[in-house]
Amino acid sequence: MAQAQTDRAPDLRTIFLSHHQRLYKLAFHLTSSRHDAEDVVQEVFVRLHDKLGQYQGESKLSTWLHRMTINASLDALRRFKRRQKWETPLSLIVNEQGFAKENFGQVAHNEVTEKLQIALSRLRKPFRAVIVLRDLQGMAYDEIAEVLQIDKGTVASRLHRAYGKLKKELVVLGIDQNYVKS
Amino acid sequence: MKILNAFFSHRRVKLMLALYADGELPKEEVAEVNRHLESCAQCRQTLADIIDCREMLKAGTAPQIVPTEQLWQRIVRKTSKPRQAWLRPRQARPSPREVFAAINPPYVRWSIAIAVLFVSVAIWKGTNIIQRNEASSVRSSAIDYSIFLDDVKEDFTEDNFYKRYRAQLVSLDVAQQTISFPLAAIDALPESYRLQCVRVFECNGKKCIQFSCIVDGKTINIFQQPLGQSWTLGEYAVSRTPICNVECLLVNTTDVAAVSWQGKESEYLAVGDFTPQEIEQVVHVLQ
Repeated sequence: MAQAQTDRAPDLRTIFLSHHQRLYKLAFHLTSSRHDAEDVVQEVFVRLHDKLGQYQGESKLSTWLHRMTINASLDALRRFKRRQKWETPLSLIVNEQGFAKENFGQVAHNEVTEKLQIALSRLRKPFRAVIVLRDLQGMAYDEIAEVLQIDKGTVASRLHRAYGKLKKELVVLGIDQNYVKS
Repeated sequence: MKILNAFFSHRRVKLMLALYADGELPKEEVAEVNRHLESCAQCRQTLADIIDCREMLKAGTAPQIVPTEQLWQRIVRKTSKPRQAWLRPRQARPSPREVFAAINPPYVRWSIAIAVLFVSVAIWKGTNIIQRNEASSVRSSAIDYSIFLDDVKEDFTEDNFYKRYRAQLVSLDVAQQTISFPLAAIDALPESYRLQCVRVFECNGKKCIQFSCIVDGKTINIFQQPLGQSWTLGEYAVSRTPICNVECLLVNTTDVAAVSWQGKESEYLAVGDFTPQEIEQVVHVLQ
């Protein structure tokens, strides 16, 4: 980003075009909501716009963007929980099919996708983040460690636990390999 | 000793399985994992589960439709909004001195000045009283765990801790009589919650800090104790609980588990969470 600033080569639009897809997907998998994912990406690029002049370049642009996206997504989840607290109890009774349809109506190809996303959304945030970064974003362990600001060993142990918990959730939701293949 | 070695090797390998599945392990460790996998059905199952999850994630994740232009337009609207009202050209305003001088006759001017002075003093006094009340209510109310942890990470000494967070010193015996240890509830703790109480008590001759909070109507106690020289703040939950009729001190956390047995100072015995069977195994070996 420091380079971006000095060279004046990649402007906000160029940076947006080269990163927004990955960031949108990351935000979507973390928040389980298209609307929140859009808000998150908007917030990240607005912040980037404001901070282009201040950034010192301690980390790579993509690392910084991923970190910002994760933080903004977690904020969005917190806001969602706060909203839930003030809503009427009746409005909280949302069945999972309804939840999935509302959030993945246009993007979900099938039931498996919906159930996978539900299983992911049931994991605690640190576990969800490592799985999304590793398996859905295809990041290397070192990159994940840098984005989450933890060491590589912690990434490995979180992943190990995250798979265990994900597997349990998938079993609860009745998904296995055969189900996916069918 | 062999059993203990096998036990620790099993725990170490378990944590390496995700790296192993990704081919990110160094050769020597791959050989160790391979050897272990030959003899350990549980690890073979864990590895199969990891591979299963990965394949399902790959196969079941639908391509996303990213609303590129719509997003860009939102960003453009947000970043091009004139947000700084102070940049607009200012109209020349009369200075306070000019306004004051314009008030006539002079005795009205000075009466207003004295009234303003009295009101300012009254407001200042009132604010002080409110602030004092707020400060005392903050001290007595719940502590925000995330703010607390940030404080601790930034600048923590034992003295600062006691200054900032009122702690009550009680002996372990007293603590044991009054405190329950719901391990499962600790595992289920949300990321951020409010602490209702902070206590400090002695354990194995060292000070431990106990945090309590109430989640879903249940009181949850978390115990932090210094392992070696460093405080394990925010990382470990410690509890004393009977296992196989032997009272053990358990440090049960997301990343590290440690056990102290029969009052001896705890040290790292293994990494990861213990299952009840594993605990029994450890206790058996120690006996």
